[in-house]
Amino acid sequence: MAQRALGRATPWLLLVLPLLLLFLFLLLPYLLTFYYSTTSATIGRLLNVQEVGLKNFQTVLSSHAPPFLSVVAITAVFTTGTLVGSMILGTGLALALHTVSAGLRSALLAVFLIPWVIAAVIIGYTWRLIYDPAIGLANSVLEAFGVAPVAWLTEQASAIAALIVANVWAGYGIVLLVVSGALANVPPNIILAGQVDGASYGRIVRKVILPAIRPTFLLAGLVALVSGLNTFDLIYAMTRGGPLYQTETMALEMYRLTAQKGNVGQGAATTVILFTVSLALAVAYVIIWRREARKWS
Amino acid sequence: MELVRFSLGGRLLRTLGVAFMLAFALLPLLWVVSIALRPGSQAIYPISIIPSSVTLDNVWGVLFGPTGIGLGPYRNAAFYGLSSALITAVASTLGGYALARYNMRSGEGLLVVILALSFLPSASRIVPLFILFSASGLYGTSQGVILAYAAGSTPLGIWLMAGAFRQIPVRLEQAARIDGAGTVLTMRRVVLPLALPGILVVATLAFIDGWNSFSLPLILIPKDTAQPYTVALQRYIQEIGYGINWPLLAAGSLVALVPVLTVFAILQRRLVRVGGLGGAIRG
Amino acid sequence: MKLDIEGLTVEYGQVAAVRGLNLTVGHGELVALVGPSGCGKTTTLGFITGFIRPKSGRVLFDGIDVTDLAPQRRGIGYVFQDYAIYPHMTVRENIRFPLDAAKVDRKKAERDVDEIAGLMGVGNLLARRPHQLSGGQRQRVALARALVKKPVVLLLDEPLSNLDAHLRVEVRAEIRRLQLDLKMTTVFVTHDQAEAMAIADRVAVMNNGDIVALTSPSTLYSRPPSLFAAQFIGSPQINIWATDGPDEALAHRVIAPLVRDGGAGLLAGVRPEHVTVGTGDIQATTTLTEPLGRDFLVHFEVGPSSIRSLVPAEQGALLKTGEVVPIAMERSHVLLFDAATGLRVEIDEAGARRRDDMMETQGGLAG
Repeated sequence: MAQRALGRATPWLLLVLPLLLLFLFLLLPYLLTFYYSTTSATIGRLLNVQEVGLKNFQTVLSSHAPPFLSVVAITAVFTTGTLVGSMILGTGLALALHTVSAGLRSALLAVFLIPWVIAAVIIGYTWRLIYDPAIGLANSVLEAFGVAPVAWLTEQASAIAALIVANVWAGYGIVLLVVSGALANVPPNIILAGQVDGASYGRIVRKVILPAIRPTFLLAGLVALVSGLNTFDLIYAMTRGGPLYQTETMALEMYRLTAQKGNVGQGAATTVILFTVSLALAVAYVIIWRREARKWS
Repeated sequence: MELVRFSLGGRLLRTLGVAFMLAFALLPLLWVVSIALRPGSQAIYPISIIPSSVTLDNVWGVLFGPTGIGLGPYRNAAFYGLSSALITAVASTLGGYALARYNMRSGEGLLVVILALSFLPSASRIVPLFILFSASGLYGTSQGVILAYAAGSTPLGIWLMAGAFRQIPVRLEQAARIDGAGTVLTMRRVVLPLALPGILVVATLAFIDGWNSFSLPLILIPKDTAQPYTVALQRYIQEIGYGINWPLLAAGSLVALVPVLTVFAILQRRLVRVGGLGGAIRG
Repeated sequence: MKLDIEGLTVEYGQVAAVRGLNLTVGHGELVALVGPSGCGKTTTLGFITGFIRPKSGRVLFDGIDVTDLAPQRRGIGYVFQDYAIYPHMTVRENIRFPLDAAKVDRKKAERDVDEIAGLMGVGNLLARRPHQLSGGQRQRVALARALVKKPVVLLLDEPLSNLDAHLRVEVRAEIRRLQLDLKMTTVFVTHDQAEAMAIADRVAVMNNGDIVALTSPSTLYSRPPSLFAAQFIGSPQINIWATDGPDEALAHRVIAPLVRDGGAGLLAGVRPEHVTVGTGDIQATTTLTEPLGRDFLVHFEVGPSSIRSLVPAEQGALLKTGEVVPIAMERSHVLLFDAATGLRVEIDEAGARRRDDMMETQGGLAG
């Protein structure tokens, strides 16, 4: 029987279907994006396009409306805010739930994960509703405390803050999930040992628990960071990038250039920039993780 | 036995913190429900948190009314989601099994690359997919969109299934073969039943992603009648004229939440366990 | 420090893991808590440490009730069965951790670490990480960490279970020497009765949530208060024959010389090491010989009854299966138990009176 030869080929045979699917509908589009970033393609003219080298990148980087620097700044603020917010909330909750009984923990975990399964657009609509100056919950709460209502989504500072809050609401769930999983694998005895050794819970968290889950913790951070960079649906639903580009992140800019302005080449260039940043962060993570792994073995 | 023995103050802090987070997590949802279920006349400034009367008019209106989006968009979303779940489950099971069982030289590397693919901005697939679809005649077809969804969910699916298969001892398959079972029987009676929990999780996650998808159908589904609710609900915001039709938008959102929350409620234990698997992996 | 536990009852749901337990450990005394799995010994330790909230019960350190005190504040040294040393810290950082938590000045802390590390023989390992250490080394680090803060009491939860057999004997002697040098009040939990006997000042035998025997090792061996204690202590296990049942004949033969009234309702017990082979008035058939190295464990049959005997190797090697040999059981080594209560029964010189033995519960080395 050709068992041996078949044996070695079998995994690849099995992989044909999934790899084909991934290649055609995932990898190829990204590769095409790279290609298109160097062309002058537009929605109206997608084939037989001219190579323009790095001109698209130049145009995008020096764009004025909106200024590219402002897009970068907004993206940085939004992403950092999302990262910090979801990491603090997700990790804090995971630590708190880690110390309660198993039954209560499951129940609470299920409730806290609800935002995670809701469509980003729906979350966007929901928070837009909350921030509505006239009928929103936010202003109702402010009124209850005697504070004047705020025009949340129409001022840049409050709009970005509002977006961050909404995105943290959407994103803390994955951090909670991943960190909870890691905490469950920390040997309980070292936490008991920490208490016997006289350490306060805060010290135990800092010196015993967090170091023990460091690789996963960093992974959760990376996931939160990259997802923050790629957030599109939520912002689109809440502000469309407005008013006047004041909440325009790179993801939105990519969409705007491609779908609204019709300039596929420039949209692709923006995508490439965004992708490069994501990749750089992922590489940084792998480097840090390898250094950690070496410490352990 | 408690893992950490807190002082009274510590307990209080923990309870307050969790309570605050509970409020943070649930209030937005309750607000949507509140707006969706109150009569239109109450949805104007100033507004109270709890409505004085509750009505299903808005829900009825968004589903069956003249200005509603109808059941169609929800049916579409369900169709896309379920189809994607099916394809994702199949592709992930095949891929996961291959990577878990066979020591391929590029096995680990492949896994990492596959996972890396899921890190890329999904919105940037849109235009190239648009081009590919136009060129191949897939533009506007449900098959195209479903395959695009499935491709988005498969990387994580393969990773999860690989993990699930690694947990099934090879000995079981070997024992089945010794007992005389052929490959098909071994798969059908031994391996797949044990992998079923993992497959369920992968399918569920793929369904949720499909049900929630917005940016892909935004560009890839031109026909109004084939769009999912995520795109259809937009009309309440884009409608020119005064203000957004909040009651209908909220009602439409509420309807969208029901299936996904139900699915989540049923399968949350499994999902959490698998999410924990992710946390357990240090490598 | 004198340690007292009063009336400890711990319930998990409907099951009582510990019921009404009382124990006093005197200053500088080492008490071994020994018993089968699930008898409540680790639960008791958990209570002393403060992690287990009981249904009722108090724990006192030198007479002060610390039951409601947080574990952090009790000044306990605890060695876990799996050592529980912090995997991501160096040995030095591990040992120093309790001092850091107490905000001890860094220089002094380092000196203390060096001192205890030297004492424990891990001075040359201070820069290593736990995964680089062997099981025995990890255990010393765990001990060092427990001792560096000069605890008022040392609690050890099966510290030797994860070690190789020959290491166990070596390490238990070290622990005992250390404990004596430091005059450290210690509670040592183990399921291995030989271990308990070897190092403890007093042994507390636990079963089903309570202490069923509490006395010195030698007393426990030669005058066990109950059948359970007699069977639990000593390996190979003691021979027991009941006066009603299949072993009737043998039991009566053994008991007859001792009690006037024929011994109804009694159980006779003789340890294998006290069954001598070669002379005697009982003819026994050899059924199996097990070479154990220094000794042989020989199984005999007399009628329907089985007898285990421990004989020196030279003698055991000569025995053949099926061979009939005379065996004897010295009357001073016969232990008698009440079949109904399980308590040991003492027979005085006159041969008739029965006196129930009292179990010691009070502590102190003087007792």
